[in-house]
Amino acid sequence: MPSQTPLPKQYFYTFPWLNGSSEILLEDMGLLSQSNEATSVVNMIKKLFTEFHNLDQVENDLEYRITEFLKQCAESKEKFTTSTDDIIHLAMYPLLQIILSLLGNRILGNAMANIYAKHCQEELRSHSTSKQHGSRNKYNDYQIQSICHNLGLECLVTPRNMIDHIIYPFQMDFQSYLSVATKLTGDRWKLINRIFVKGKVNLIRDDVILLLREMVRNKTKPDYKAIDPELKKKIEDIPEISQILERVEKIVEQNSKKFTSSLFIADEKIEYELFPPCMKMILFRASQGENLSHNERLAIAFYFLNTNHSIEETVDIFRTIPDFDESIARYQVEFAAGSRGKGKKYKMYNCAKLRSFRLCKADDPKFGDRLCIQGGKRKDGTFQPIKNPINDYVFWKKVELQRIHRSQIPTTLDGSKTSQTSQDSVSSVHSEKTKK
Amino acid sequence: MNLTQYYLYKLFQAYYKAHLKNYPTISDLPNREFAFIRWDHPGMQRHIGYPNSNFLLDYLVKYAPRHSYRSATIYSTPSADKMEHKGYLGCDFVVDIDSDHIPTSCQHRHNYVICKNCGKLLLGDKPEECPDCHSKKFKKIVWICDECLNVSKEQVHHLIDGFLLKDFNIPLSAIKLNFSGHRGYHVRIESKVFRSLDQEERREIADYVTGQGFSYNIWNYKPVQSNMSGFRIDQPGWPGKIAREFYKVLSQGSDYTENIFSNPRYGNPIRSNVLRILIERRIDLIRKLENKNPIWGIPHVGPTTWHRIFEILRDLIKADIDVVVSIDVHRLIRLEGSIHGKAGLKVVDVPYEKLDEFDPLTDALTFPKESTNKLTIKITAPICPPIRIGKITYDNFQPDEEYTVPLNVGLFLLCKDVAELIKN
Ligand code: SF4
Ligand SMILES: [Zn+2]
Ligand SMILES: [Zn+2]
Repeated sequence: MPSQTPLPKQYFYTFPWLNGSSEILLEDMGLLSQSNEATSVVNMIKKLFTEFHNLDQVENDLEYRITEFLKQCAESKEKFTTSTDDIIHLAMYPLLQIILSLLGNRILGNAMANIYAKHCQEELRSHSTSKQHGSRNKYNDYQIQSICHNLGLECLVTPRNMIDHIIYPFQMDFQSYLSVATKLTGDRWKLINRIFVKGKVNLIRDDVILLLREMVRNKTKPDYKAIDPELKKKIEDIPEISQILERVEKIVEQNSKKFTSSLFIADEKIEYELFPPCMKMILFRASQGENLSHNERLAIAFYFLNTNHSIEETVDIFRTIPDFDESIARYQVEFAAGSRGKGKKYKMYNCAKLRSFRLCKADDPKFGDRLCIQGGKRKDGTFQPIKNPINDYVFWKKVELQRIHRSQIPTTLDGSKTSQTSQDSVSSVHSEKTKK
Repeated sequence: MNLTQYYLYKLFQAYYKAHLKNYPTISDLPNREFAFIRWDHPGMQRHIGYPNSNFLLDYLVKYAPRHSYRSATIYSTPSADKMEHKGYLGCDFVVDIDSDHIPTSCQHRHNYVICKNCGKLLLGDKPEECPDCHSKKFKKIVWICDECLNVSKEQVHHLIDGFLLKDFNIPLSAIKLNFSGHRGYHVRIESKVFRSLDQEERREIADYVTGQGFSYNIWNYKPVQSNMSGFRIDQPGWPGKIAREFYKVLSQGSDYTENIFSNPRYGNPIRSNVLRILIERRIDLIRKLENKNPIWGIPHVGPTTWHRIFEILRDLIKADIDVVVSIDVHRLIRLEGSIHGKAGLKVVDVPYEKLDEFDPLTDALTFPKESTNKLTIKITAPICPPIRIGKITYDNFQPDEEYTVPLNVGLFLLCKDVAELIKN
């Protein structure tokens, strides 16, 4: 069976996140049979830097490559600028994992994962040309299957699997499919919108590539808890590492806009405590430098623009995400705000739409809110379901906060309560609501 | 504990004593959390773990609890009193099907509430407040009848036949089914694969079996010129399910079709004028479906109506499950073999092949149906709806009257809290 054949060595150079890549690296360095002591983390790091020290050709110097790569991350680039098919590319990977874990910078960490993910996607989509065969996929379906297997995804090539005039060359076990697809937003990834028969999800080649991309993104995210303080100290003392850390600090300083977000500074717009769970989650993900999906970007932009935030503030949300490009982001936000294109301001998505995008976080353990599940409590004790994050959620949240507020206001001597302002804020949203 | 409760406790205890030898085995028992509501103690006793079944049986015999539960989750230390200390190892995939969550016509006939403040009686579900005195406290009487029991059964078929076996390809041997002791069923899958699913993955499965998130766009359902491009009965996935259900409904005649679309279980009916047009074209549509022709266009039936038609069909296909239960990975479920304190019926395994012949009101009775023991009770509730136990329907209970009834009947009425025990 093709699935049993081991992956060619070259794959581990190109895709250093594959399982078993560290064995390949050790083997190439002649260290596979070394005792544990000789291969302690600190020794390994030192060995890597000596082995791949090359000042005649900085391109092939490990320290140089790592620094270059981190610069790319900080500048929101989505590409490797150095070779991706040699052993140094492989050697760089475990070191990057360690360095980002030391740094603890989520934005850089996610930017790194994004570059590996995008690289995987582009590489698997690429073509090779030869006189003999003309242009063809650089990786055939069986090779993609082998990569899936390496990552633990149960996926089989099914060459003549034609359904409704479309060939689906892959079938993936539903549990493998769900393990990745649930991390993606959008209707098309829902199981119900897939051809799902006998426990298998039928997929076209590009679907599998996109699933692999997401898998790689998750797999290459640094584990920030991996290194204990004692080890941390030892690693930081390695000269090459301390140099790199120093340089990263500078790089981060130079790109400070990306690393500081103005988002959580409360102002008189709509305060953070009035944000519904779905929007809080998107903001949180953005602030961590996660790669927001298309739907997430639109949702948060519509939300901001419809709650009296400026275009500037809306663009700011996206600064921390891996592929941030100021001019593109600005163009898109202006478009959504109606100052470009058709000139129509886009309305906020309603909850049903957000739910179908899997963006509703009503019962999320961290951001969830009973208000979303139960609805707003009317005066007569009945509940009005939350159907729109602005019209309903923000309105009822204000009511709720106001009720709490009122219950905390000390009653004056004559028994009357003194609260005027919050009453006004409620009615203002309400009149906005009736306008639409 | 009043006399009735004490007597119920004794009855439950007699049951557990009699079943020590053949008490059902609980899979991975040492890794489960147990919880009970006892007669002698308010609130729930939680975070209980047992090294083996003897300890569990001792507890059951000693306290004969009113309600008994165990976790669907397996933990390394199930008795730890904080979730984060229990050591989560995995959770069975559990589906709860209960006619409590499904609108049935019988619930307005046999369920009612009594205002605890002024005594006003209202049929059907609990309202927000009493129309007379505005109190919000009610005593709720939830009854069971063949209609609601059959609705649960039908939904189990939808789930297992329609989804788990065919689409998910789960072998029947891996699917455990039991009657919940009241109005529904629990379906459990304990395989490694299902145990390791996270919440989002569970939600996705729940969405699939309940038909949530179907995208007309992706499935290419759209107006084509002045026509509608629909689905074909031989199509895989949900579109094929919808087409086949449509075919099934239309094939059963005009009256049936009309009834389906004018009385949907959920949501609005199809407007009668549009429905008339649809029924006029019934034969034509059947032919198109048979010929696998997806162009279903009918003049005056627009995309919105078609969407509504599909939604009604979806609700006929889906498994009407309690989604929250399937997503929650820390859920407690009723303990197998225990007695449900609100109905006096026991939680029993039902092999799926036997589901059709399974009759909860015969096969889940706590005491042998042959038992000749009788109880004397007095009806204390203003209404005691009819109840069938075994082959006999008891439908003539009057308030404040005393009756001497078979043991299982008495047990049911006492558990339902519509009667009290009379000393004799
Ligand atoms: S219910 Fe609506 S407002 Fe609340 S989290 Fe979900 S989508 Fe957002
Ligand atoms: Zn009342
Ligand atoms: Zn009923």
